[in-house]
Amino acid sequence: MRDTVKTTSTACLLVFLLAGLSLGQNRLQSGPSPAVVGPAYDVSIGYANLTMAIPSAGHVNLSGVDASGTVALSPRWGATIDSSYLRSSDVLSTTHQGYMLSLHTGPVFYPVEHGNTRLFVRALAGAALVDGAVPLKSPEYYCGWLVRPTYAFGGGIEHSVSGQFVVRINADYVRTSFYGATGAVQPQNNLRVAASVVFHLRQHRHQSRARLR
Amino acid sequence: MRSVRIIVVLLLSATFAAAGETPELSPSLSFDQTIDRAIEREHTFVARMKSLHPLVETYIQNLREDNDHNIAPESDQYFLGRLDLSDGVRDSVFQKEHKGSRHHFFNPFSAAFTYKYLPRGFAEMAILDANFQKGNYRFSFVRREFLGEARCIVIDVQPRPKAPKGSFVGRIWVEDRNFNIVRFNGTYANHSRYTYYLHFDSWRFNLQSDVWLPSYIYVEESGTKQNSALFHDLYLKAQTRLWAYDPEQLNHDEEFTQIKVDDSVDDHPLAKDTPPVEAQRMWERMAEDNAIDHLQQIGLLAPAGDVDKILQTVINNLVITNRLENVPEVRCRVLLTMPLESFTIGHTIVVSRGLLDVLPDESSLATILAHELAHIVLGHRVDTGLAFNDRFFFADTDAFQRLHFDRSPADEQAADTKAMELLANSPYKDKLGSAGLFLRQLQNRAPVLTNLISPRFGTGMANGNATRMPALFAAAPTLDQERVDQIAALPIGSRIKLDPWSNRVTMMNAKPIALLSAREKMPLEVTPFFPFLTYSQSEGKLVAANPVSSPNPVVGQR
Repeated sequence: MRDTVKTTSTACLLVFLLAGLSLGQNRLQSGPSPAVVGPAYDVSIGYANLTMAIPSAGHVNLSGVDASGTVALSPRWGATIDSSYLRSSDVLSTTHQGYMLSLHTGPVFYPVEHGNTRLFVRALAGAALVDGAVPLKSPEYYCGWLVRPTYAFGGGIEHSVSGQFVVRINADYVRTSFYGATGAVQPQNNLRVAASVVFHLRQHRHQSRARLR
Repeated sequence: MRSVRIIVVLLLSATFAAAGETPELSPSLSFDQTIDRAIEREHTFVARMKSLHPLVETYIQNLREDNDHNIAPESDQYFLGRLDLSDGVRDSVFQKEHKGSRHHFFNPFSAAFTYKYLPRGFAEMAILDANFQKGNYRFSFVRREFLGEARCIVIDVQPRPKAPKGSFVGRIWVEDRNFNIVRFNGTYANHSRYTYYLHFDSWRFNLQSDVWLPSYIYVEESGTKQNSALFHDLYLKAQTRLWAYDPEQLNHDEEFTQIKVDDSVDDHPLAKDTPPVEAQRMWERMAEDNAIDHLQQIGLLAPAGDVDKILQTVINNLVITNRLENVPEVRCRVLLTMPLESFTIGHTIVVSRGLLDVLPDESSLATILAHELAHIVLGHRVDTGLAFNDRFFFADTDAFQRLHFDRSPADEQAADTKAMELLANSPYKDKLGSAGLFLRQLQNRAPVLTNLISPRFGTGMANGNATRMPALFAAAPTLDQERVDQIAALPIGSRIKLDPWSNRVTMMNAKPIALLSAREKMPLEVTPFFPFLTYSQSEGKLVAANPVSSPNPVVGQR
């Protein structure tokens, strides 16, 4: 019950923060109104590292691939779908090869954009398959896998390097579940960091970005 | 509040009329000082624009290029709105139907999948930079050049690295009498990933003494023409026109103060009772006049003028040759909007500016007018509910929804039949091939130019496989896009010249130009503007003398 209340209040705080930032940005917007708003899609692929908490046992580092796709819904809002496959060859010295496969989707908000760089925050929900092991008395351990709904929130920075290519670095808090030493399902608080290359699809190419030096 | 605005406008006009008495550029004025003067004038212009509320009409054609490099429209968009810069940029758009909350609920992010045009963004191309600051730009002198009568200093303008987002980049033309910017051509810099600025060519006309106001904007984007779903780029042409600047057109408060008691004396020699038949006629005429007055007041209908007389001449030709002795007095007026339509309000025939623009010759015009005259001859009446003035107590932008002059299919069919009879007895009877070709061209483009061919007030001229006057359509020769001598319809803006201040329309006085290839026919298509700028006369009622949409084909013109 306490977890539910905490989760709800965290979500409310996040929504309030995003709404506040959005309103603030709208007040700050200047310059002429655009004549066209249009589809802007991007896809990304990159390397991710996740520090996973194994309940009552410690932390394990998983690394692997993170892929995502984003569609812009307004100048500052988008929707994203994110999937990652992260693995570890040895979970807490048990020789068990653990992994996590996740699929999340949710809104993205871009509160700040300056030149070729912009920041984003996002709140995602989805599901994750966690395959792991819980060491008991060495060399014994439990192992297994579990699929449960999950959520994540975090943010990052994107920097346009050339044309349609962008470099993105982001970090997310990922909430998953796995078995504890007693065999009960327990929540996991994980931190995922990713570095990706983003490719912008279907973007109108405009020739007037250059300015005099 | 409006009265205060009018006074402010008049004071500003008077002030700058006085300033305008120094016509010649001082030879000692340096380029830097010229820039200072132009920026100062631009600030005055922006302040003036905040007190004006012109109508802004934008028509966009999305283009497609096939493998043989033939370019043709593939879809279109149309916006009409009233511009309000008093509190940032706001526009109120005239809509045929209100899109309800259900539409917004189910389609909140339509632009996620296709480009979405924003009327406000097109209207704002009338403003170079709402906060034009010298420090934000680098200016380079190019040359001196005449735009019509106006001798201009041509200057390239580029934003400096620290300039705000959305700064103008391009070229400006500054007339050298009073340093008003009369034309600017370029775009706004640094769009975001999701929002785009387009390239535009924005023209201002000297509408009052030393008052230059935005009148024409031509927009074109021709990036990549690939048809790939993922990489399809913006490929479009658009025209934006602004008019109805005159605040007196919108507010008749001033007229009250000008009424003289002597003028209000009843001049009827004797009291006279009105018989029922005459009362009915008067009632219908009141409904007609109410509608005409309202449309004129909100800037959608041109005041009575020279073009009406031309239309009246054609009507007279039809009336006399058909011996229509019992037809009541028929009046003609010009609707100032672009969508192709004609309709009757009682005994007044209304033809849209867009339709007059694209008609290839007089016999085509006669066909349009014959159809409307047929409605009058057949006694198709005006909605007499319009005799009650409260019917007009609605926002201007609701005009498309609140005023309907369309007819039933049966009435339209009857009018088509009657019109064929009228034409058969008229001087146009041997020249109706071009009218049929025009209808064929309409039908040919109707699937893609849905916004141009859809009426706002009346009944559609082409709908699916059917067109108005099907007998003419059937008798017309085959439409051949490759024949240079077959002109089925003219480009948009080929005939009518509009004074953006007074809303008066006149026929253009363009020099005939022979077409070099079929590509130059451009039927019903958007073309660039190249107006001939002139300085206002002493009474301050001059528009550009020759706002030509170029090129202007002449084959088959009246």
